[in-house]
Amino acid sequence: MTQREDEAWRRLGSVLDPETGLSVVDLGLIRELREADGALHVRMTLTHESCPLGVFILDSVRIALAPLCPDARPAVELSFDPPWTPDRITPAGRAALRR
Amino acid sequence: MSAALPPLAGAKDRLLPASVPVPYFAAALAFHGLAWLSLAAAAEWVPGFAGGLGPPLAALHLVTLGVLAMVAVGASLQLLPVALRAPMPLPVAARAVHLLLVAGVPVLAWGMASGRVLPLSLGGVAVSSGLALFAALAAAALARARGSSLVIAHVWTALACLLALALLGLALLGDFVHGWLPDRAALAAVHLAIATYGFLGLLIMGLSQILVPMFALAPNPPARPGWIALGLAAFGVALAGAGWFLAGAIAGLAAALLHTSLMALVLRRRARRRLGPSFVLIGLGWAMLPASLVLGAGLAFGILPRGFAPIFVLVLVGGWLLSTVLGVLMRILPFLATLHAAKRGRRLMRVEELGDERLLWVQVGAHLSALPMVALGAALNAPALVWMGAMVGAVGAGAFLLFAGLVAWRYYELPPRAGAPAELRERGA
Repeated sequence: MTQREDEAWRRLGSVLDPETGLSVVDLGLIRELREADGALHVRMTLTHESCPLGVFILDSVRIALAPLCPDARPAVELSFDPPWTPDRITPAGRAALRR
Repeated sequence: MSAALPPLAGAKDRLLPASVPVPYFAAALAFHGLAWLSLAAAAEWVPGFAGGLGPPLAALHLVTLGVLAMVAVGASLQLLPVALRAPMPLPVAARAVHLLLVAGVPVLAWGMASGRVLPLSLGGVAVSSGLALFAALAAAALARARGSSLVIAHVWTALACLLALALLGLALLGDFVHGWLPDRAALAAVHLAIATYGFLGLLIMGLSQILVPMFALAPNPPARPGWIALGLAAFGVALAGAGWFLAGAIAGLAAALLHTSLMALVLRRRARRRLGPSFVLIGLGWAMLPASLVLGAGLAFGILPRGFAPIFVLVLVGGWLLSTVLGVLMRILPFLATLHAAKRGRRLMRVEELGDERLLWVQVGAHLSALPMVALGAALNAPALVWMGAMVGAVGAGAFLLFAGLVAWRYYELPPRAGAPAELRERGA
């Protein structure tokens, strides 16, 4: 993992899903994060394809990563195949949801 | 930045301005309090109420039209374009529906309470026009929707019921003036069945397929049993519409048990353990749905005496529909505030941070106390108990109104998002 990818994961940890209060990382929404050609590429999903907040969560991800890519804007891509399931939630996320 | 992929393409443009849906919810909360107060004023006529003009009928329609239909219309106009990727209805038309309902419902209720022809006619025409305009807007949007076909089918069936119930409602109002119906009581029962189990019930069943998994953080329920439940429910409503109430109640009961078991499955698979006060009411609604059908079947079969009719209506409208709608409203009010705040370029705030849950618990407690008190009052022919129950219900409605006011206040106080690049701020990201 590059230093920029590491920092990107850290920043994504502060992007919250307003409905659950979990970060997009703990919710298991981030499928892939990689640095290529000087830009960050994120492949992510949503808990539901028709989630009304989805587009705003994507924007929050872009905003969080923008300072890491001064020359190239982060590429954020959505994927619903396979669909999200609660199994993707991290142990920390599960613990938070039990509280 | 990548281009948005098809599922969310144009999502922001399909979100109606907050000034369109918010007045629906504000009106519904105001009518909620007014309905309980009207019931208190009508307390002496509630035991033994068997339909017909009078204060109980007015209180009933303040709930069904003022609260339930108002929330159903407002939530549909807001959520259908976003959740089903349907085109957004014209804001001016959506505002016109609201005006017709807000003006028409109190006038109609006044006419029902007083028996005066003019408010009955004016209110009836205004409400029917508003509902017909809503049906046209929703149908235009649904025709080009690309979301879940199961949800879309629910909404189409609900809209068909809406047209039928509006026509039946007008026929019943005309009968008050002209006395042209041969069997007014039977038609009123059909109107009630189509309004509650048809329009409102099918809309709730459809939107539950999206909202319950989303709120509980669970996978979607399997679609095939959902289709079977829809088929059974539509069949049951059609049977009731033809006057075969017992057969309709049996088909409806099968649909209700299938639907509630699907929702129970969703909750069993949920990741979020704590669901809060809203799901206490939603759970009560799920229990009261089959209970109402059992009572309805008992009345249709003649096992239960006619004196049980007010209790049946209370279980149906208060126990199932009002509980469910209030529970959903508890969740979607702060959710929509977050959604619109994000559209305005405000910080994405946790939904729970926007309100004060203690107020919702007051609403839940009041609702859970008020319903049995009114039911007991109706069963024991004790108007004082009905009055007390209605006043407790009004206290709950006041608490919910305070909660909504708090959400609105915090919505306007939200700070802009920190660190948002200028272009994202400018387009309201």
